[in-house]
Amino acid sequence: MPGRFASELKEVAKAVAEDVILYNNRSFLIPLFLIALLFLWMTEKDRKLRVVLLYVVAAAAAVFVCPLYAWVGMKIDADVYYRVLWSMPIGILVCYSVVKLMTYFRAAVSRALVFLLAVLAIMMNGDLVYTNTFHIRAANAYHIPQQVIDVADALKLDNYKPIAVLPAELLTHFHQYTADVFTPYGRNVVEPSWSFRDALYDAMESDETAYDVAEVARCARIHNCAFVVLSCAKQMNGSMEEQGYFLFRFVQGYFIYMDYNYYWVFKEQGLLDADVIEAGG
Amino acid sequence: MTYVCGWFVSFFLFELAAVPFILLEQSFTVLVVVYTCIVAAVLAVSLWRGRQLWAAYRDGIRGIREMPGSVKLGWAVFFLIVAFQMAYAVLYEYYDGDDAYYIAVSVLTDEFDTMYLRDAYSGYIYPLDTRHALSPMPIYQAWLARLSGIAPAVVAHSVLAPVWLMFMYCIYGQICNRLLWNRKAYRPVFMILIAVWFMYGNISLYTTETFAMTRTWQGKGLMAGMVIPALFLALIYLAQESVSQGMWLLFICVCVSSVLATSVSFMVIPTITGVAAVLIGIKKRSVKFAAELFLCCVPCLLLAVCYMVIK
Repeated sequence: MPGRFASELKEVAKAVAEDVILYNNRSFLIPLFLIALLFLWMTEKDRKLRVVLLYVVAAAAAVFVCPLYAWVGMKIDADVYYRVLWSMPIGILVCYSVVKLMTYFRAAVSRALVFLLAVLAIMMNGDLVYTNTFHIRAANAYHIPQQVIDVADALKLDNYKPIAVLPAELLTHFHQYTADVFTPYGRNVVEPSWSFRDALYDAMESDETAYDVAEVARCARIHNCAFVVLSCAKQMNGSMEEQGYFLFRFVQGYFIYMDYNYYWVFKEQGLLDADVIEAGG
Repeated sequence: MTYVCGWFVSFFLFELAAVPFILLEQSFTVLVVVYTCIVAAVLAVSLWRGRQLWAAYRDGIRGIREMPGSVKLGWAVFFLIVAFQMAYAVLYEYYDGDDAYYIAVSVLTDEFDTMYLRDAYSGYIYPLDTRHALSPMPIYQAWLARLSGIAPAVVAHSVLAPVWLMFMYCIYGQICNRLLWNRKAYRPVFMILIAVWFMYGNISLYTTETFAMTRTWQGKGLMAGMVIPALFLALIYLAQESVSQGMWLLFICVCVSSVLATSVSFMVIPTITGVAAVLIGIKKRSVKFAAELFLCCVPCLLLAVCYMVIK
């Protein structure tokens, strides 16, 4: 038993090292942090700053990389253990060290040089957040693709909240915009690592070039979907009309079909908007 | 400092008000009414009790005129960088998959008047989501959306993203004041370095800077960018010889705000507080002080126990 625990601790220590390496990536972040810590350790005179920024930080860092502590932390949630590294005030220590270093120089030129070198070091060591990540010009104040908003607006009914099946590319944004339309699944099915499976999703997405219309219609009915949204970028093997659907709208490259079964029921109950009734005939 | 404290007090009050309502499966409207009344009462008391602060603000603004030109230039550069970052946060969108959960929860809460009782991905009725219920940042955003009449996605992406970015720099500004209390001329230098540090901090997906700059509106971004620095700010004040009551209150508010932000705080905050309690206690040669400091994170520990029990 103690042997098993020791090997578990070994694994945990490896996982912590991996977390630190992933956090640091190929930059000098961790070395910079250690240099700043050492520099302030030697130069900082203020006792309260020494305690909070040096002793507390160093002790907390030692605790976080300690395998026993990490073992407990990883038992709670191993995937997010790296977030303990957020509690290291690396930016504060590095920037404060630079300012402190500047104060050692009397000439303004020397101080400016230290500042410029520090800015250059930060820029060369780091990656600009705006170019290194997936930032695009916002189409609207929601920061949601406009086609999602247009499709959602087309699907909304005044007196009823229908169920609609959507192509995968619309799923992650759809419920950020509206709760007036239910969907059989959402982001949970898009993330492969979450291993959530659904026959309707497979029917919609398994073939990247075409829809097996009969299978989509069959699965959509099992999920009680009144609307089926299909992308015009994919071909249709078969016709939705043959499956008992009618084309309600074509919005931003998406065909919105409605199931006639739901159409008649909703119409009888007075749940449909005028434009849907007009499209259904 | 007033602005910083205001946010943390509002988070603290929300966590205390919201969690019981969520666990008791009460309607969102009831929470909105109760919390809005609490915040309005606290605001009224604060405005009355803090009325002398306006004079201090005026003095602060007058002080700008007396600054040397180089310091003024430094502040101008810093504010330009921050203005650029805020404008970028509004004008450019960043795709993050987790929004599919967090913002959807806000939308569902506002629409169906229930909290964590709907599946965020489908909208269907669901058993109480206890994993997220103790960190109800999306409900806080739903409250902001309900109160303002603005859609939750707009509140998060176009309002909170720039506002909390400024909030983050206000916290760093306060840290800067403490670190460089006797070197005022160097304050803009420190703040420019911090602003550049955050802009170039995207060295991996996992860093504080990545979360703070790309997911500012999420609880995780709040934790990385604002709560942790505020914790250190409060600790610096608490390590002084004499500590005001207000600083103790701020520290408690920051500890509880961390739980509102993310469940990771259950571990991180008690650990940091525990280590700080021991070391500051040794510095002050006071066991009583160390015990009092650690007691501040007891709400975090209690919520951690709740988390374990209901998980």
